[in-house]
Amino acid sequence: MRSGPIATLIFGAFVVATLVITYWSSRRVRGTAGFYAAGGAVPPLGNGLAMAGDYLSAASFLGTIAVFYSVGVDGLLYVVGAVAGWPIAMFLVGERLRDWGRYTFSDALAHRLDERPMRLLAAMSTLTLCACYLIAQLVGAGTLVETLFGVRFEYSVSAVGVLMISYVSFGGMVATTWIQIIKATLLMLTAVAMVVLVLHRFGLDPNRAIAAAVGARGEILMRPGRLVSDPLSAVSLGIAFALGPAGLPHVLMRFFTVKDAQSARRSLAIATVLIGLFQILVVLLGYAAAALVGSKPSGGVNMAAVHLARALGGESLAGIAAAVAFATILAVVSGLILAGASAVSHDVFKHLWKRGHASEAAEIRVSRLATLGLGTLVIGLAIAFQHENIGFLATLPLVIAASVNFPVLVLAMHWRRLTTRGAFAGGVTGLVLSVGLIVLSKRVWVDVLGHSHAAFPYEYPTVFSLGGALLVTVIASMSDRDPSDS
Amino acid sequence: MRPVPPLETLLRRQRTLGWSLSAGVFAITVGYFALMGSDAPIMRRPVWGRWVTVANVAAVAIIATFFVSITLYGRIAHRIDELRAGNTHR
Repeated sequence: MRSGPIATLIFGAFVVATLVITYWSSRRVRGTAGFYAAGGAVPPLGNGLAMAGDYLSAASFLGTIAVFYSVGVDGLLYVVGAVAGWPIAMFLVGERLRDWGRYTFSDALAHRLDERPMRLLAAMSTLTLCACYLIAQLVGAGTLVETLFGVRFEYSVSAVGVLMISYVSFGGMVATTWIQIIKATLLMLTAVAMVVLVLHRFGLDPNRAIAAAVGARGEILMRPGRLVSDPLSAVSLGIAFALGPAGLPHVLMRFFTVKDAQSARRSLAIATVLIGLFQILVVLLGYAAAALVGSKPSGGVNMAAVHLARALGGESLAGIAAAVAFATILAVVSGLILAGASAVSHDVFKHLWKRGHASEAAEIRVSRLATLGLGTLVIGLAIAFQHENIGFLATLPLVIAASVNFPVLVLAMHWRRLTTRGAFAGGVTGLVLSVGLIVLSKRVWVDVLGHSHAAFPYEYPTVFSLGGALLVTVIASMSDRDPSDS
Repeated sequence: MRPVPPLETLLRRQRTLGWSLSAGVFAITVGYFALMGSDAPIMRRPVWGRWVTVANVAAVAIIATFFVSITLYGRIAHRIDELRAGNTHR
């Protein structure tokens, strides 16, 4: 499947627009507050859009529609899961995080507990999480560009990587925020346009769209339980979706780009509503894809959304959908690389290495170098992983966030007896268990590493990794004989 | 006109409401995933026509419930903001 001139034009327009925004932003970035938090001057509506943009990655658009297309009704798990974490983030974390922190969530942990161990833990989890997320997104971007334009995968990934490094290095959080706002708006408008065309074709009764999907792909489409093979893994996936967003570092950074706690709360409410509405639209688009896209779509099932756009609105809409998917990936990787670079420059360089005594200029310089280093590393890893099953990498960040960052943050905010030792021991337990058990599960141990049997019998380990993290945190805190920091 | 509760009372209510709603959101989400993951027959039962099943309607209803929960929480948080602003002005 090759794109036509319309897709090329829209791709080009988006890239030029984002580079102009980056140039404009680079002249407005002043000091670390400007680089990391856009000076705390983003209005709640813009910040809510950017938060929604950070979370609505290619997995939400291409991925969820692909799940409906391939396994039918189980796509609803991604729809419900994508919204579930946001109310919890608002109720338990939102306002207090904004009051306690400055640029990253580790600032809030350092506000309550010993600074050095907490920043070390936050840096480890942030870098692991961002690397997994970035590799999955870059492989998706490379495949998309390779499929649409016929550019070799290595060149596609490198081009996306260079753009991502440029946005963050020169434009910091200001550029990243504006790119997210534009992308979230484009994504919503595209989804609405496609839904209008689906309703025009099938009428207002969703039964007709689902009946057409069942007619095309069989009644098995309406049988749940095909996406996740066992109930315990399904529960683990549900926990990761419900608790993960409140622990994702690139989302948590957006709590500091507004002026106060009230604005952070309003941003979260706006983001929840936008993500919820988008996911409801995706349900109809998913069934329509199953009805209208033929078997074995070129470019694989992940391109089902683009094929659906072609079936609904011809080459023009297909070009727009492909360009929006590309914009989505580009915006999300920019937010992720900024979060990863901040962990290196703000937590490791300034607070762990320089013990808080680094100039703002030096910190920003290190952040730019970290962006370059981390960007180059993940480009290389994405090229290495291009032929592997990278599906597990896309869910790993939510599992890590729910098992490490979420329990430590929430307990730091709401449990007075938490000690530094307890938080560090629990966080490390969550990190080791979440990454280790994913590696031992079938998706990696058998599918990637080629062993005959999985060493861990479940697909998702959140029940065990979060359970282990909470248990160790509580036991270590309660048995701490020096709870001076509790 | 009802008397406005003091700030401390509202903050306590907000905290209780925050934890209760979080527990509710968590239970609903995990319950939905458990029922779908175990292919519970109730999820395949038609609700509207032949193909709009409990699974579909429940997904949309759950998202609507999340919207209601943030509205409830937002209302009490807004009252706290107003009270704080009033105290600051005094």
